[in-house]
Amino acid sequence: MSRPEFDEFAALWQDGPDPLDQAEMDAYARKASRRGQLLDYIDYAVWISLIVMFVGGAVISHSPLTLALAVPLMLASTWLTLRRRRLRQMARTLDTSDRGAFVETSLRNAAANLRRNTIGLLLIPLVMPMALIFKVSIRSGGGPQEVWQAFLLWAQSPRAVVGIALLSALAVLTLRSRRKTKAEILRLQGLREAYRTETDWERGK
Amino acid sequence: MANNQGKRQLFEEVSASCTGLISRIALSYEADPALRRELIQDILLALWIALDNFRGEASLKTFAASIAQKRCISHVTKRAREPRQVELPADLISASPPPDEIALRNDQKKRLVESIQLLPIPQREAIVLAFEGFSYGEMAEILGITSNAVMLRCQRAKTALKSIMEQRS
Repeated sequence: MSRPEFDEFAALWQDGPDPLDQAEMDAYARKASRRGQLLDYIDYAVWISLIVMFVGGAVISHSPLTLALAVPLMLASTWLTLRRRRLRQMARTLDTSDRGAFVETSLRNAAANLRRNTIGLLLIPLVMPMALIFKVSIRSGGGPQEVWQAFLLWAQSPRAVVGIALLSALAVLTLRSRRKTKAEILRLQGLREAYRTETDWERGK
Repeated sequence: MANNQGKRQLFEEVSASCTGLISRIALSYEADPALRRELIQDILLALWIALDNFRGEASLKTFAASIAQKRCISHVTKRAREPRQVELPADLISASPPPDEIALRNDQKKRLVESIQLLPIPQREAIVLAFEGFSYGEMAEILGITSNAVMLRCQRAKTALKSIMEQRS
């Protein structure tokens, strides 16, 4: 491509009104800054609500079982909140020095997502019953016998059917997300290869 | 770290001065207008979050281009499925009824955009930055490679682009 050709293409590329007009972009910019601030507030609001709920539940029931469940649930929600914030910041900004690091970071993020999905799939049958027993124990006083009776009653209720249906839907969504993440990993591996090819060519290999 | 007021000012500056740059970078990666709008919003949110780390070592334009390119690449790799070829609107440049000259230019631009979208990502990001008027030094900063490597990559991208455009004409 000759210099005049390049200049002509560059002028053509930058020519005319932008694909989106300024008013629309301004609206998007305002929306982005609002969303950015909101994301911060939501993280903390959700975490505080969960902690208040677990502490409140333990205080109301006065049961060792409720307390024993509240502590790990509080720790888990704190850890998850911090972890999610860090992951989101990294995933959004992709603040890396070069494309190699960028692709590697993206691959690590995708692999972490895949692991999170796998953990999610494993945790659904583990944590959900724990949360359910926690809820039942608050109502029934916390003794293992009462909890078991209340649990059996709950299992026969329409709410149980709805709950199990929701859990199944969650599992299906997690499986879909897993498949998408696997496709993303494959594309990133292809991209890594493309950058390597360019770099090799630039080094004269 | 920029305080909230400073961050807001910086963000206003970026969104006022880099509008065209951001939407054109998005155009080089996403042909579907609805998905492109989503992508632009995603880039703006990423810019808002990333401004916490802006130290002023590079210009705001370079910073915005760097974030936009990375978000676009990420968008491409996260696609639910491979994109179908979306026909770009014929009036990509002007919405007014085009006289012959404008129609010809619209057609050329459409062909250019579609050809850029067909380039491999490493070459695509280099040629788009070159068309946007970034110097080799600035491009090296954005792409994280040496100026020499940028020059070579641009050369390859220009050759590839010309060949695609010739095939399509």
